[in-house]
Amino acid sequence: MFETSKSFLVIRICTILFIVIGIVLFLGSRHIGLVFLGAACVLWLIGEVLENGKKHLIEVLKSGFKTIRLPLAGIFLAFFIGGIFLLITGYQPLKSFGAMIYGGLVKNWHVSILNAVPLIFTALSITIAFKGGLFNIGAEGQYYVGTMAATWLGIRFDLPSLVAIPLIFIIAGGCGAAYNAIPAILKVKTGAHEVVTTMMFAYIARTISSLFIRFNGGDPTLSAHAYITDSISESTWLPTFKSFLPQANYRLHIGILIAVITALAVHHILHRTRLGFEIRAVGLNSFAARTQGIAVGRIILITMLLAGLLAAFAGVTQVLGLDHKMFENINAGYGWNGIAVALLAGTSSIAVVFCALFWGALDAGGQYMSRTLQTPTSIVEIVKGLILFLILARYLFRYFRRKA
Amino acid sequence: MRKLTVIFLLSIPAIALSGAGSKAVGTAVQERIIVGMATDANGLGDGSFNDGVYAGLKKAEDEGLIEIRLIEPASMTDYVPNLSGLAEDGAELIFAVGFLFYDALLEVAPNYPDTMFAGIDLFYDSPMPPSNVLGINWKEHESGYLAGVVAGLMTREYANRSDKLNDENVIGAVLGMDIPPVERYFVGFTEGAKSVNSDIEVLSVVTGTFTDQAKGKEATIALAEQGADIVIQFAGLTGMGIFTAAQEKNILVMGADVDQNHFAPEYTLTSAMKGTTQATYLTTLDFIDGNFKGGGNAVFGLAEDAVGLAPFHDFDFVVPSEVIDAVEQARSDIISGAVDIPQTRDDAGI
Repeated sequence: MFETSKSFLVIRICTILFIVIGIVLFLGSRHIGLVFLGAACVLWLIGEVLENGKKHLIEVLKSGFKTIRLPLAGIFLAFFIGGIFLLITGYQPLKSFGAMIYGGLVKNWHVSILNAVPLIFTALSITIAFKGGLFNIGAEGQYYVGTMAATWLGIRFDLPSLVAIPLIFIIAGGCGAAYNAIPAILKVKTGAHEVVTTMMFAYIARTISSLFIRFNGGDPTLSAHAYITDSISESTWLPTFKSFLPQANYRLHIGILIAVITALAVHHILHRTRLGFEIRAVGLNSFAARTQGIAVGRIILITMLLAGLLAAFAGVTQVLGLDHKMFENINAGYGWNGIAVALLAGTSSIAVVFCALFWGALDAGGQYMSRTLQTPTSIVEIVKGLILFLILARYLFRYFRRKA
Repeated sequence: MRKLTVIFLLSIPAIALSGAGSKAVGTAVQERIIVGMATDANGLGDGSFNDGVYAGLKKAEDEGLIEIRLIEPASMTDYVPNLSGLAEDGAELIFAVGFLFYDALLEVAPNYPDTMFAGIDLFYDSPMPPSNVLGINWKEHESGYLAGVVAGLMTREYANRSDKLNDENVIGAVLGMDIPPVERYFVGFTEGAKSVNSDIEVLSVVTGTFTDQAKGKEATIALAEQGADIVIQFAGLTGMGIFTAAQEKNILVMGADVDQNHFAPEYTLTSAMKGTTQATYLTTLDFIDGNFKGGGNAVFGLAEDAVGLAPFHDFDFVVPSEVIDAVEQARSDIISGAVDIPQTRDDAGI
């Protein structure tokens, strides 16, 4: 499993390269990017066949279909029930959902992607913790810590972009990890459950953020500066696609690439390294892992640190890429929504990317629908809730079938 | 599972048909000017700016002048796409509600030079906004002044007309954060009271918050214990506390921003109003008539009927006609310019 032949490696690298080129071109509003993405898919298929043989590939596709079958049915059913709600309240379901899809995927697709970026990071954070048998419910808190650290550094750094941006990622990510270290140590040393501790820490971080904003330029007596920090210096802004592909939307920043690469990296760590193996082993059965000689406490600590780091990255990309400052009461809830995305993705770090995009598209499309047809956006929340409910019902369904 | 699938498939045409049936609705009205409104993250139902602006637009829509496109954001990330989206979808005038739109407006407006933007409660001075952006503000000191006239007369000359008024010549004000609009309200209130009652004492408490009702209540009780028998609030949600305090200390109170009589009808004398509805309506009319001018700020006051006093309601028979005459006198003096109300404590010398 750990041996890799040379040709296989080349194909894998080519696949990833094609994916990146395809995504970049597509995000730059050049549709030739889709060709590259298609080529990447073919390359992936070839790679799979070369590595494990045809039979295995068919197995993989079959099981892949099996895993997405129920979620897809759930999504359709959720839209269906949402449509009934619309019908009862006197709106036009088909027209509304049509506008939602058009807005989310065609008209405002860049907003969908902007929405998805922080969700990918927080969902990855929750996914990696979940694989280690932990429930990092407080990703929201680590998100705030990352946001604060990035804003603080961004306001003060006067370095060239190439130095400043990676440095901010490392330091702010480290802050998020350090923030999550406390619940992690509590968990390892005292057994305090991480659901409770990380959740409490989320509220602490959120409350501290108001103070942080006051100390960094927030001044409620000015309408220009009410509950907002100073802007970060321009050298720390993430590059936008527009800076090298002039057709692109001017707000779209390269955070999505960082997010996708992070997702691939997380997938790699979880499935192709010793650490990932140990994390999964602890997650599946920590007693068995201990008897196999895995230092369970150490793995729990590392998992929580990684989760904190990933959630903090969400805040960093949001500040450096989009907002360029920090707002109070942003009402975004990326940490909480990340849980939903991670559950929808069924703890697969690759699926997280697609689910986050889907979630982001729901939001963006919902806004478009509301703007043009005056259908209330609450229908989006209803559909989201129904989707989650139906996806979780999938687990229930399986549970009961196993029992029977 | 199979049964479910069948039901599901069968119901798709059902929905499709019902959708087709109601298609005729909504396409009837064309040709009307589309006016967009982007609320802040609080959305409609905030009992304040968002609702006020919507009411103003609704009035214009009911008169057949415009068609409203309302959008409530899911989060602050939506502010910019919502504004540009409204502009792209054909809105000719867009209202952005609340100070959090300050940067978003400056970012979006230059991209849509043919669309006009009005920022509610936004004040632009440095830098001046693009020529299609207008900040909308109010002369809070004018409605504060009228409330001051009522309070100044009622607390001494007509104190015998209500058992809730005492013999002392003291009134009070509960302030939220000491931001410019609140200062204007308060200075106007003080000046109004002094114009009819020169040796009156006007007490005030700055609570430092717009959201803490308990603090508003404490402040009101403290003022009442110092002899104030009429207390006004300029404190947003904090000010809700004065209505419970009024019942406890048996004093009269005044509301702010909107008619707040319903919170405590037996204790609320009147309210100093700031009409987002009227200002929105007037701005919309200006736009329709081609008089909308961006690149600066519009300030609405008594002359535009966008600020003023709420009705006395239960106190119609308590407040004597002399007081009503004095208020009318003050109103016409302000509009004619005979009375010039200072806007800051420094100018007023308090």
